[in-house]
Amino acid sequence: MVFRVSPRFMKKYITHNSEETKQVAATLAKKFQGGEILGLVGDLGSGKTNFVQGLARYLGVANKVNSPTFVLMKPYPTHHKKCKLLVHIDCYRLNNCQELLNLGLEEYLKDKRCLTVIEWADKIEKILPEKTIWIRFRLGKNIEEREIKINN
Amino acid sequence: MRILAIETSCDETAAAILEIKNSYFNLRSNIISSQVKIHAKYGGIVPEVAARKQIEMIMPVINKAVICLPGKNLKEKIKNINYIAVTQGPGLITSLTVGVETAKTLAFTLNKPLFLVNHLEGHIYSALLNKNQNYGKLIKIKFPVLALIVSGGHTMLVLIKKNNNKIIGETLDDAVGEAFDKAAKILNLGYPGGPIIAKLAAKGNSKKFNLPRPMLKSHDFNFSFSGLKTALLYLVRDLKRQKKLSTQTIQDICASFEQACVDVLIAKTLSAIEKFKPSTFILGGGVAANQLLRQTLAQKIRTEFPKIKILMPEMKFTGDNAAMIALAGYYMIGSQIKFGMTKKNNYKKIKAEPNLKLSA
Repeated sequence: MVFRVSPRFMKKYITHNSEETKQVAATLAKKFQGGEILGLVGDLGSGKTNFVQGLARYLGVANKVNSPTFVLMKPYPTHHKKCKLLVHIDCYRLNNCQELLNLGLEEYLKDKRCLTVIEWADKIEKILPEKTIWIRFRLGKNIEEREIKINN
Repeated sequence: MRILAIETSCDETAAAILEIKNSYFNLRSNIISSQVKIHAKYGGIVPEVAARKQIEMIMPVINKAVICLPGKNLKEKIKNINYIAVTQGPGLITSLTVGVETAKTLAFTLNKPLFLVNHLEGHIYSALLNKNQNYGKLIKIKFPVLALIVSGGHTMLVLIKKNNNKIIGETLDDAVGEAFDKAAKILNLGYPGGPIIAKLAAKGNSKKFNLPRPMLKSHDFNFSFSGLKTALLYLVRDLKRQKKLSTQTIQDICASFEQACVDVLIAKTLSAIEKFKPSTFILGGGVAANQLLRQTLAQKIRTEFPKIKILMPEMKFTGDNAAMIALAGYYMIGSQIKFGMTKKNNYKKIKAEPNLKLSA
């Protein structure tokens, strides 16, 4: 996994519970104008879905945002002025990029009203655009602690 | 009447012929793609893409399903069906589309009514196929019904009344089948996780490791399995560091994990039964194959609520299959209980719905 942006733009957060992880997501989302793409990278249980739930809460998504592992992609309408749709993608089960392209990923990536969030994004790195904001998750020292690094 | 059902919501391609006469059913065929051997035309290279596999499999699977029908050749045989039922959703859009478009084409060319079935509704009906044989009398359901659907994509409690149904609780993060898969992944045991973990758990001590029972005190009927997954992750990480991850330890971890999942599912189900007082309890979905869940659930409900009728699907109907879709389709024809869509003959508007909801 190679990050395309030099480390000096990197922000690092240590969160101590799932609520704090959600708040990091909300802080990041404050600047969003629509059309952003987030690539989430990290092991099982490192807080990726939790982060997306934080984004969803900030954007005013009414639905329950649960794991999209099984269906690969779940789009949610929001109540946000600019990001009208939160597209939650999970590449965990994927073996190649083709399936996501079949699902219409490219249209979502180009859409200025969409916020596209991709879990296990390192698996499809080659089809993601340059502007992708990469977010790396790591397990912390204790069970509630997480390290989140954001490159943008 | 004879119903041809097609189910392609995820990785399996399935087709079935169900015959129903005077409330007796006869499952003439029930084909699932993994049973059909197809020689790859492309020198053995089969792309690992679910939808592409579906396209390759769908016609051979349907052909194999209709062979049981009277007629000299396939063309004559397939004309002997009365209805077509197909899974419309929820599921993987590309996979669903293969089934829905095939069903539409068949319905149009054969001029037969088409029923669009909700996959989850199919899992609920699968419990009515609780005969070991492929034929028998259909069970009459007494409403209200409480259904627990547990699979790789879903974990929910549904309250079904005569004319409506309501999801009273569902998972806030991972589905329970997904939790089993991911636990197996953390332990490096392979895929699918459910059967592997259950097998190892049988030799382990479920009291060895104290894993959390998430949401047990949440006072609602929602589930969460993400925290359990994380607890397992840390446990395995620490044991690995201490070089204590022996075969026996792995078996104990599997047993403790399975027990934690089952405990949560059962606690929520029992409190839902207490609140909603259903006449029937139905278990459905791939995780319904888990013996610990089946046995504990049946035993607890029998002791605490002896009046409730318990229905669980036969093992062969727990995973995705088309027989359950056929039966769900049958009830759309015969009764007023409508879970899914019933748009007949309006072929242009029919399409797969990956996020199809079970209740309004």
